[in-house]
Amino acid sequence: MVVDPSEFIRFGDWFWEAIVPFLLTIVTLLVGGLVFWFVQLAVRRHPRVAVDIIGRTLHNSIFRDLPSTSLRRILAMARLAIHEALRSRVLVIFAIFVVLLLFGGWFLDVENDHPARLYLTFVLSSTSYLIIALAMFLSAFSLPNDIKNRTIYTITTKPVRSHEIFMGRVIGFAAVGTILLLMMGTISYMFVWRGLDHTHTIDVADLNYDSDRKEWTGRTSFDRHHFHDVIISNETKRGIAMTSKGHQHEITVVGEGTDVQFEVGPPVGDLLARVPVYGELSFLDRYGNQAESGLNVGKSWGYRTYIEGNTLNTAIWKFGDQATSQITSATFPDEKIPLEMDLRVFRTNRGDIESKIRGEVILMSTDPIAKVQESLPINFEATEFATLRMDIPFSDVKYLDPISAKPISVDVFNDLIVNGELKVGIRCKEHAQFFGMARADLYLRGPDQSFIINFAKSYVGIWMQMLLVTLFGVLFSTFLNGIISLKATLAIIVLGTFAGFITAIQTDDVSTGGGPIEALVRGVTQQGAETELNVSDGARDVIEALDGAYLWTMNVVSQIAPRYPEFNTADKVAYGYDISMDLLLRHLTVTLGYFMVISIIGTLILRSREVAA
Amino acid sequence: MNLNTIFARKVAYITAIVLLLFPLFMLGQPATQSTESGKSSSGGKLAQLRASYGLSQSSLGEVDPVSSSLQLATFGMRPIAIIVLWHKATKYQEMEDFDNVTATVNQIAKLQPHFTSIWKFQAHNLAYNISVEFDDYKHRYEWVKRGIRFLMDGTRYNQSEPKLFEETGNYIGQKIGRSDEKHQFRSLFDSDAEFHDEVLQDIDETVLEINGPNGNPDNWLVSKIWYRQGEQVYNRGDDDQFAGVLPVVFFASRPRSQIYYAIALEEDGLLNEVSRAAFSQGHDEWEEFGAKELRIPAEFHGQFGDINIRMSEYADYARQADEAQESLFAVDQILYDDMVSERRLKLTKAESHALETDPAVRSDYLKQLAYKAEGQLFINPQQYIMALRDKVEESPESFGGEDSAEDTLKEATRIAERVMMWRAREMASENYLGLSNYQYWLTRCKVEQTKDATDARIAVQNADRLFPQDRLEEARAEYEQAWELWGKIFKEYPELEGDELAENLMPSLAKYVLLLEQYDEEIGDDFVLKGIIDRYQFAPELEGGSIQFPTPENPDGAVGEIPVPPTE
Repeated sequence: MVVDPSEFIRFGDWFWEAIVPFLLTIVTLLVGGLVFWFVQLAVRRHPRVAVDIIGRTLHNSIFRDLPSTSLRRILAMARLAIHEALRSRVLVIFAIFVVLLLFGGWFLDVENDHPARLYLTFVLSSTSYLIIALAMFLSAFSLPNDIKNRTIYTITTKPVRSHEIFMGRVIGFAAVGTILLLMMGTISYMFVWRGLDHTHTIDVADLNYDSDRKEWTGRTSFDRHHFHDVIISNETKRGIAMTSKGHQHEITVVGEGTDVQFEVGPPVGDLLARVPVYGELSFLDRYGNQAESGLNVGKSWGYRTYIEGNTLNTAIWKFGDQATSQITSATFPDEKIPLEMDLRVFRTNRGDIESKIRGEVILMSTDPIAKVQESLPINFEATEFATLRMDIPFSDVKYLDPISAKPISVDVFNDLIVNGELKVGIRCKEHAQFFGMARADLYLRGPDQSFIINFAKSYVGIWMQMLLVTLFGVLFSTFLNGIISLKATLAIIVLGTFAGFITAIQTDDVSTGGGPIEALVRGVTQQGAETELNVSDGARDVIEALDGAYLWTMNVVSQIAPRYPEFNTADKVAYGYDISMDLLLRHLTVTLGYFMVISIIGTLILRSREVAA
Repeated sequence: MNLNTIFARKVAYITAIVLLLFPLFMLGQPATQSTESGKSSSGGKLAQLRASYGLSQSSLGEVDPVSSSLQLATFGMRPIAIIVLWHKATKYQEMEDFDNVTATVNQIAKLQPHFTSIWKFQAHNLAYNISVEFDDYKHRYEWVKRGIRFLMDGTRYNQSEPKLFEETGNYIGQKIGRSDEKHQFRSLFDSDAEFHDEVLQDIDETVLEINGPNGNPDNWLVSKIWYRQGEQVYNRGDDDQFAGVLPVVFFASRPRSQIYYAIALEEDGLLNEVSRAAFSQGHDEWEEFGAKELRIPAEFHGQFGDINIRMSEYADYARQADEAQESLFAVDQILYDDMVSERRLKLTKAESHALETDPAVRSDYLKQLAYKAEGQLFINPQQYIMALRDKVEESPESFGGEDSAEDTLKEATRIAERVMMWRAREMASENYLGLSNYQYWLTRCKVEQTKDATDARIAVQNADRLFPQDRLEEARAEYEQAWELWGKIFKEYPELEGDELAENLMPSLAKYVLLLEQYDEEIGDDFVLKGIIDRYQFAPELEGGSIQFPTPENPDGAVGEIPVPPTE
């Protein structure tokens, strides 16, 4: 699975890095807002009146309204919002979702290699699209409608503060969304579970029995577009249906002799929540010297780099330093090193088609004076596009004794792991063949988490997106009319979604051919993006200035907008990786930050409107 | 505005709607056919237009409710959705997220089920581009199957597209049977009963044999069935459906599959009457293909519009053209002789000398000059007719009066057209013969049916097996027996010396050279296959190319550069 490098940063480190720019942005926004407000009032009325109004508003907000905030009033406002939402028939969204799930199966690729991924991505993305659309519509139209229908007067005449109105709306709509999400989550889980649940039959006549090894081998029946190869032991009376379509089945032998029958269990391994402990990746070049990165084998996507086979070219993951948690004996409860890897293979010649490319794992110490610098290589064969699990028992970790030149067992915790740190090196053994890897492609696998909890965590991500959209919707609706505030909310979603792309355009990383005005000129005059713009110098200056201003504005706004895709953790659930608490905490912190800032801005704007004054 | 006005307006609107429904119905009424009464309606104007251009969904192929509802669900934004999906598919492919590539590609196909390029492009993508990204050949096979399935789906939606059927046959035959992993792929296909059901489910075929010698369907024979389906679709369709594809390429596929099947049997080690019978059938089918009337599109030969030829009649076309040409020049032999003499005078001295030199002793330079001179002396029918016309106009009396001269010119023009027609057929069939490599495959089938060829192959196979076992004497004897037999075959069919058959012997010849080295001997000038060795210059090489005994410096025994730390 592809992991964004920012996800490797632990919450604590991230928090202290993020807090300063965050506070600076807040201060800039507040000061900028106040200056704008002052100028607006000063021009319309008089500077002294402006100072008076702003001062009074701030004073009243901070010293009068805030201390007298009433939870009861906020909840009453929230209840009002819920009623309003129900009147707008929000349950239609739920009905659409159910219909989607009913017919969704038609459009899903039933022959896909990883049906679980497909089902999970489908339910999570359809939930998030629907719920975001709902949040957008509910929040953007509510206040403007109240103002238009003058129903807001029935509220503002009561002793309700502006911030209570604002918070009440947000909390009310969020509550509606939360309930809907809970319902959708439950149904989604059932849809996925039912969609994937199946079993196979095994006919003893189709199996081969090896009387020496006392085991049956063969395959299961062909159901749901797949079958499994099976190995069943007659001694333990248990067997396994090997991985196919991303899952396995357990098999139990029932009966004896000619009455023997096989019971195939439900699918296992497709709904997982692996907990990976990531290390830091570095490389040695083909001569064993430190290298900046691996090799490029000519792929346009630079996520993975490669190491050359039959050389000292090595990829080394360092576990346990400050960036990752330290390695203790609790990391390896069964006295095994639980490595998992998904390496890419790149062949420069066909080689032996039927054999996999061989590689070796070398465990290394981070301490230059440790007794064991590196273990003897442990061999493996690369399984591309399928995670390879290697549980290396401590007893298999050996080193070459320099005196006797014999392999000797290593005391892993005393001889190899120093200060809770361990390095794992990977080499490719075959000449002119390559292994490709990224940082997330090899990790120590901790004990699995519950899949249901992971699934719920992903819904928390969707919930946060919904809350953010609601916040922006309510904010815009305090000073814009319904349809405009809807468009503004949509713009924030689009900008937040494509913020990275917008920044890349701004910095010329993505496209040539200039900004929108230049692109328009090129389009109309049919000039290619790669050629120099053929206009007069004056016209070029004007175009560049306009484009510059436009792109700058877009960039600033996109920086302010929340990065919605970062909250989308559907991939992690679909690929069976636990959503780490670090990531969840980070998202929650960001959401909380937006909640505070937007609540303040929304309250101030609402206060400044005469209707609510 | 009182209630009456509002009511009157409503009535007016409803009346207008009802009136407008009539033309809409006339235009849009769908075509129907009642199975019980047998009555049918050709439908409204739009339905008729669709039918006449072959655009109606039901005339193109299967109508899928999923596809239709998906198209409807895009609310006219289908093109945009398709662009986004193509972009996504490319992105997923770049990021090696192949599950999503398939899912996206399937969605594209559902949105544009009757656009055949989608099926062809993405099937190729799945079976050829994505499959090779996987290191495990079993995974690769799965992706090849995915490409084939995708194409088969395409044929269901486009039942009047012979190319899609042909392409399906091509993937089942060529991709499984001719790729680097052909032995592994063929063996996987052999035991893949579920896939056999899939590739044969739409086929109502009892004419062709599909099972190989072990009783399981063979990929080459199954591919023949798909080619045959394509031929049937082609035969019922119009010519336009075939734009851009030459019939010779299309119709060669099926008989060539039979030949590849026979070759595959030999490569699988089946060197007996079964493989010989397969070649015999290949020979018959190839001859049948040669005798088949094939259309030559006008753009291919540039005159007379589309013409039909049979490759087997190439010699006859040439003879007819020569005979007609002879009778054309006989109309006024003196004129012809004068034209030739006039042109001969324009030749340079060197060109004349080259022409006069006996062809057997011409040097390369003289050959070139003679070729050029022959071109200059050649008089084509149009030139001859033009010269004749000039002569008729200038001196009609030499033809016995004006009327007689006109008749002669008319007669000559008629003969000239006949010459050109036969010549066009001759040239076209020569091109088709070259394109299909017709003669080579025919001879190959003929040779492979002989016992000499089978014995020669068995001997090579034995020798190749014995040599690595250090049974040098036995290996040498087998090799020498094989070379003798091959020498006999190449003497009888020298055209095979320059082709695949001979080239495929090279690895074994290389081993023979190494074997002779063990006896301190070399290949002599009188070696029976010296011609082949000279043709394909080679360096003796061991099979696999990477075998070397391990040494302390090179413990893995690999050939290649062993890394050495850079010296300061």
